[in-house]
Amino acid sequence: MPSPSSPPRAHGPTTSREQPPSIRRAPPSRCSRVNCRPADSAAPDQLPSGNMIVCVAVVGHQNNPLYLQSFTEADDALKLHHVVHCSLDVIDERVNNPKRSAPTLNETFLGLLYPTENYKVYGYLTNTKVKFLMVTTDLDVKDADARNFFRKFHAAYVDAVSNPFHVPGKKIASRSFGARVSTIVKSFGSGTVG
Amino acid sequence: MANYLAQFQTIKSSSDRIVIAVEDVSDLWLNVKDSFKQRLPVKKACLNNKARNPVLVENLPAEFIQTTDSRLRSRFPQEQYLFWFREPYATVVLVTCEDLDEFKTILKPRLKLIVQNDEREWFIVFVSKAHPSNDQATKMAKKVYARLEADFNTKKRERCCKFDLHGPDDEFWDDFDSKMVDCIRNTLDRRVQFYEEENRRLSEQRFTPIWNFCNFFILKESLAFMFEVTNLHEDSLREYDELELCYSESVNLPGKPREFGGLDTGDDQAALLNPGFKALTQIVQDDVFREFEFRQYIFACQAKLLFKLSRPVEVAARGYAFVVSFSKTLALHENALPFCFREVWVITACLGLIKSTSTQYDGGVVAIDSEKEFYRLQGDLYSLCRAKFMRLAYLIGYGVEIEKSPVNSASLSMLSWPKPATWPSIPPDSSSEVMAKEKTILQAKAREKLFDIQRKPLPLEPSSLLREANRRRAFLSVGNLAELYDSVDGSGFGPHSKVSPNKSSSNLMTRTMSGPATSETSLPVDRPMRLSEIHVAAEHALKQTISDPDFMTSLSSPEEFENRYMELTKGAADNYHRSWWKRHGVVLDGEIAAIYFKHGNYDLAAKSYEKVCALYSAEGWEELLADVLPDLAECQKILNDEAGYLASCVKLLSIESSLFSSKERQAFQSEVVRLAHSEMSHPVPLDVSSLITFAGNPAPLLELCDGDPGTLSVAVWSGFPDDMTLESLSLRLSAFSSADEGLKAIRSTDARVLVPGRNIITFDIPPQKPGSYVLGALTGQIGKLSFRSHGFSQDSPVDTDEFMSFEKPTRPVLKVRKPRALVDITPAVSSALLMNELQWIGLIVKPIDYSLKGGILHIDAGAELKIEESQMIEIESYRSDGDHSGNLDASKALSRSTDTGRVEKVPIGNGKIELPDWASDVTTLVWFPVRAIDDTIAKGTSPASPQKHSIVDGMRMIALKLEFGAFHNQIFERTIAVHFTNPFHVSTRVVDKCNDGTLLLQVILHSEVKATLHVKDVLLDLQAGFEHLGKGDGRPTSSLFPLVIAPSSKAGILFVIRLSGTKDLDELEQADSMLNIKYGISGDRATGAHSPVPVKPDDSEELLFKISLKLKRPVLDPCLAVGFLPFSTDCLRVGQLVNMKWRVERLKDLEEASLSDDEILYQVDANPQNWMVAGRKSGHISFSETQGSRIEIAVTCVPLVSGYVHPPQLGLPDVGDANISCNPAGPHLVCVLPPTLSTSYCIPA
Repeated sequence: MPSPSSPPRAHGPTTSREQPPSIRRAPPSRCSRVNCRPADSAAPDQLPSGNMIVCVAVVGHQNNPLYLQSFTEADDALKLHHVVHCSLDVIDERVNNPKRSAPTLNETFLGLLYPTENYKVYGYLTNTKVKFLMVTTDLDVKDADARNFFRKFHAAYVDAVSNPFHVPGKKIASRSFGARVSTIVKSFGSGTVG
Repeated sequence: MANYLAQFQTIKSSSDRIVIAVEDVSDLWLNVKDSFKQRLPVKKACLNNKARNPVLVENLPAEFIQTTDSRLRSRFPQEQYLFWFREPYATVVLVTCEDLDEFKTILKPRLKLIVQNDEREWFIVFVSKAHPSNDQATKMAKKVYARLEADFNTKKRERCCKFDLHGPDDEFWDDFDSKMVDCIRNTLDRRVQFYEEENRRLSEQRFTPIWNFCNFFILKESLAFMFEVTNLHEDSLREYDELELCYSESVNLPGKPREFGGLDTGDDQAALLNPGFKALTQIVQDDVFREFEFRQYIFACQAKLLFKLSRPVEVAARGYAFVVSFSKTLALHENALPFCFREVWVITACLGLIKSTSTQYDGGVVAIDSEKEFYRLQGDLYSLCRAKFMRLAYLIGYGVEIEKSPVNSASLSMLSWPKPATWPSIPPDSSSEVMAKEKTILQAKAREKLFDIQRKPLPLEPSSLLREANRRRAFLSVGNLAELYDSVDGSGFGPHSKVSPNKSSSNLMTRTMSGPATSETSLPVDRPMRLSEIHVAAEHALKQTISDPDFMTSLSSPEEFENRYMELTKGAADNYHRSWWKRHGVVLDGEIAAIYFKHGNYDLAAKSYEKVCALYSAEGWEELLADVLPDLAECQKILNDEAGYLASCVKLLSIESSLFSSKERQAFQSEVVRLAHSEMSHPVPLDVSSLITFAGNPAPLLELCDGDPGTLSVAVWSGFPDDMTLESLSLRLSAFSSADEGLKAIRSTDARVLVPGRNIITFDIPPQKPGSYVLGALTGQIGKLSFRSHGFSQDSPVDTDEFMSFEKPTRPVLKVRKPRALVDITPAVSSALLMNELQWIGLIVKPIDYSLKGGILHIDAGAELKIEESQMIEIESYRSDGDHSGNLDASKALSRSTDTGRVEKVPIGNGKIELPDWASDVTTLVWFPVRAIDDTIAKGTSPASPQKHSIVDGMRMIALKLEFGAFHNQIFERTIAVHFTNPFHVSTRVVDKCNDGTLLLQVILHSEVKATLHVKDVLLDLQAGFEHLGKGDGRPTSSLFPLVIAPSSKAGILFVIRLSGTKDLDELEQADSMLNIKYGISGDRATGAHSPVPVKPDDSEELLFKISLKLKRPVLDPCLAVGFLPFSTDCLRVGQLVNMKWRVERLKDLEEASLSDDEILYQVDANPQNWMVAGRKSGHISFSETQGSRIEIAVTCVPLVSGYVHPPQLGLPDVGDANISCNPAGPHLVCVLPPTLSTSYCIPA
């Protein structure tokens, strides 16, 4: 019976999903998701308003957290702590087995660390063994975008720790750093479009 | 061509080995069959792979089939090409012949006919039936075989071999094998080439409309299959990989919608390791395979090959990637698939992969890296499976059983809900189930955490399930309602209901849903479902989806769920541990611990929680630690592990304060206090390093001199939220250089209550050894609990991240200097003082950067020295000349100038002086009066009796002891020597001897002091035998008084005396003349001698000095002369005997002489250190009484030392000096040479 089958298909999520993955971009798919539930737009869902990055973190060379900011609206930053913390296993492994990561040798950008079905974790390792991590729910991030993001993030970090009042190895409490990171995170979403 | 698919499948399944055709020309097969078959499978074969490189293949499976066999005969030529892989790879032509003619006429043409077919690879086996004993037959056979070889062998290739029926040798078999392998290889090469060309041809048509994936597939898989059969697995795998790639490209092409598949019964169980799960013919649609089945099929083929290649790690790696990507694909088609189909498929796929790879994996032989990777993949598979399983369990209402931990939240809350076309509706007759679920929901409440910690539980859902489910239902109702009903009536599950297996049940279900209020569960479409109803509906829908009863069982009850959940979590944790992903492993251990905890298995739970906490706290992840630490504390509390519980409480308190509310923190503290004051069974010291930290003051470090006590103030930060009462608090200092030295606990006297934040606590430090000290540890007691802290904080409040602060180098807080001079006391006088008079002695007391406040100076005068205690001590500030030119800083110079000239008189008692306060920092001069006592009367000197004047005689020692420092702990001791002397040294000489016997005696006064002396009067009392001339009052001839004698100068006084003619001179000679000098002195006490301190006010300044002078009568009456005779040898040597000779001569006759005795005593005096006298040292000599008689005295001596020494002297003790004339006098010194060298010591070796 073809006719009953048509209504669900005609709707947003289905059509958007049937596009080949290569042309699916994050913002359009999000838009379509919003379209598909006009009656229930209040649902906070797991997605923040501005972008697809849910969390960024700076981890010190002793694997201690220096900065962790989540961009979810729900009060569930702890799970992101967990995600970031567990991702350190992957960084450890890559750092300790350089031959397996031959292409990323001598490069700060560690690439995709931790692909799961729902989110991805990208990593970046500075010369001083400070790690930057980014958790995103956008499953189609381009490496170049991530690289670009980390470069900006690194610059912001360098500025923050260059503050003479910052104690090296302590958590970064600078508010301007937070603001700058937020800007970078926001521009990440728009950067993929534009 | 797609029609051939079925055929292809059957052929493929039936032919699992290569075929070797046997052309049995001479009916020999039965005879040789057994021995031929024993050669199979081919042990070793060198084949070419696709890249034309030789590959050694072992145990190549093969089968001999006669050409007459039906399997080879009934094939159409077209089929033969298509399925060429099943055609024979070699043809063995079996012949025999015993006659040349027969060979020529019959056999050869027949063979030519057989082998003319170029397609075939063939070789001839000539079977010789001849018995070895039958020579005739053997020869014949040889001839025929030779002929055969000549006819069929070519230069390039030998195609004949000879098989001896009655005794085949090894050589034949090697020959046979190699020929067979040659054929197989050639055939294989040809066929590979053929298939490749075909593939290329088809690939070129890829984007043309006539392209058909099925055809491509058949060709490609034929090639792959051929490789597989010939054991070239690598090549086969490559073909499948290419096939997969090609499929992905073609399936993603936009075009008409195709069926996805996955709607058959049992499809929910992943078939990604079972290539034969479904016949390919079932999944083909038009010219393309259904994606669902086909992808699994390809993967299964790849996995099979990888297992054959012993690469289970790669299977796991590819499998995990496949599951993840295929799960995405399933999500795209989710609305067409049964409810939660995707989740179920992923679970079964993961479990299947885990099972097959772990059984295939035999560890040990692989490198450590791939071993780690394997376990990591297993862990990933387990945790993926676990997440999906939890999702299913949540949907059917077991969410309350799932711990709302970060790990579960991370894996579930970002995982979107299943998106079925319609959310399943509640089945009929399920009111009881709904009730039951409702009950569990109502009963479920968050576990009350210890300390009343209130936390918003982490979400396990991406959005509210209630809303999502109802929205998905409402979504239908919002649309065309009539259509909805139609749809519902028709299928229940949307467009693909026609393949839905359980049509009847779904109809039932939907009908209930649409029906008008048939029971209490009846729902109008628009009425939102309650949560319990959603759970029940989901459970029923899942029952439809899941075909594996075992799987369904694990979702049937919370207990079953928990078992499976535990199994998956454990699997993931164990594998992560083995893969060195400790964080993943430990975190999952925490999940296991939560279940243990729920079941009251607190011991195991505590162990796991401890690991989790250790992990988090080691790396400073306090937010995560704050989540799990209360659980550990609760376990420990239940287990009555007081030490652990206390440590956990302390740790909770020391976590960043913003993570807990102040009320919670107060609860932690009250627990600590309660335990500390309770009777603990095993009191252990508690480490509060993270909670109570301390640091020295930022001010410059406290510097102490050796032996000084001090007070050290230390800033202690308390991390307790409230005031903390302590029983005691003490501090350990440790030496900066070595850790083991100087660890001394210093108790604080005043610390009783620590307020939150900074406390300044002072510690009294007893004297320490010299060195630098750093703060070691803070120890103390709360109630009965002793605690210690090693946490240093660097002048910063405690709430910063003290995790890093252990790193910082600690600054010394206390420096105890090496012992050094803190004060110096030197005598202020530079020259001698007056003996027997009360003189001031000055002491310069110079503090060296150290306060002498309250110092007490003990003065202990030695023998023959007396301190006049009746006198006051004078203390004045002192300025040395050096200070003026020195580079003193201004302030010192200023203070010095203000104090200049200050003099204070202080009493002295028992030799003690208390230094005044003003004198504590400046150099002072302490004057105190002493009197040196010398009872002997000084003696003057004369040329006749030169008397050596020893400087030691005038030395007097004063022992000084200065006690100073805050607690009189510093002691300075010194003994100083002060030189006293008489004011004059007097020498006399007879200036002239007049004819009348008058003697002019000159008395020379040498001033001995550095002061001006005023001689006021001199009186000489002469000894017997002398008398004054003139007035006779004993005064000098001229009166020049007062005579002033400048320091260190001389003055002479002349007396006129004469000898008085008395007898018994010898007795009288013992008495001395006495010179009395009345004098005054004017000198500076700072320089040396000065006028004595007046003891009584009326003491005159006139002083009297008495000195005895020994006047010697000239030798007026010589009776005897003693002369020393020259040595017999030129030189004296040590150890050499030498004769000393003296001659004694009588100068007067005995009668005239005053000597009466004719026997004279002699005595040899020799320094025993220089001389050894051999023989008698003394004796009597008697010689004639007449004048001029003489006698020699000889004594043998041995010189003992070399150098110039005094020789022995001969003395005559009984004869007065006045009667002895020494002529010539003996030598003063003689030279003694060193002993001659002893050659015996110089023997050359």
